[in-house]
Amino acid sequence: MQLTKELLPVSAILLVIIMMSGVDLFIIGDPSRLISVIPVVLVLVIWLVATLKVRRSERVR
Amino acid sequence: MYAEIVTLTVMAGCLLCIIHSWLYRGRWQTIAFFVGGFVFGIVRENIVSLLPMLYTYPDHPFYIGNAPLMMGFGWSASFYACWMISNRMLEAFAPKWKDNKWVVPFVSAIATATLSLPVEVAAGASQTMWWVWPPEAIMVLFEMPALVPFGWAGAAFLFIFFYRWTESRKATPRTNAALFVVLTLLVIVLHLVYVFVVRAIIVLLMT
Repeated sequence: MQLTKELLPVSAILLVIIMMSGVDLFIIGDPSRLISVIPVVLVLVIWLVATLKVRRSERVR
Repeated sequence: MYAEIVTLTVMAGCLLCIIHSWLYRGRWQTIAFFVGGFVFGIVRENIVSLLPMLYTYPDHPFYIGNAPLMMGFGWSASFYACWMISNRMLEAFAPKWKDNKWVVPFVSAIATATLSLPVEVAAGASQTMWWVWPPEAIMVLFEMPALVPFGWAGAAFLFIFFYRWTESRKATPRTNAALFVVLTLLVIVLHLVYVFVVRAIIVLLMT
């Protein structure tokens, strides 16, 4: 249940990233457009680090 | 062309956010956010269609007035998903600010701005043309105008700020939900004013 809580909104963002990357690659045919996903992927990496940090502190408690 | 792709992506993403909100935030909170988001998207895009200096939607499968149906889901899904991940980032790295009425919408706005980039870069290409900016728009990344990340960020900030303010009122969740749906009309006006101010600043700085 906790995992669902964490992952549902992130899945929505991942879905957008995957679909838009697919459009860049297979419909537009320009891989250089994938540069546009870097900032939002970085945000997700920060979110992942934040989630691990919160989980760790909950376990310590 | 291929507008079905962005329509289905946005609707599926919105469904995931609605399920999350219903399970963890409650019925009226969910109705407020996503009905408010639907009103925001459809009314705003119909107003935008009357403004020649902004974009148009030439080829979508379903419209309400001049607004593609997907816009009723896209804005709220973006705001909600970015708000949720921002909550977690604030909880981990700046717990002192995690409930601050200015900081929460601000961090969500930055996350929403980053989400705008892949969508807008895919949307403006000649192979897709999901929405089309006028030639005088100042492009900075492929066909994406400089205004775009600021526009998305401003919308997220205003929407989440007013939503959280409404939710904090001492009234029943149903009353708060009804108030927020009405308030989205104010959010639209504020956002369009903000967009024109940012657009004017960009024109001033980059021409």
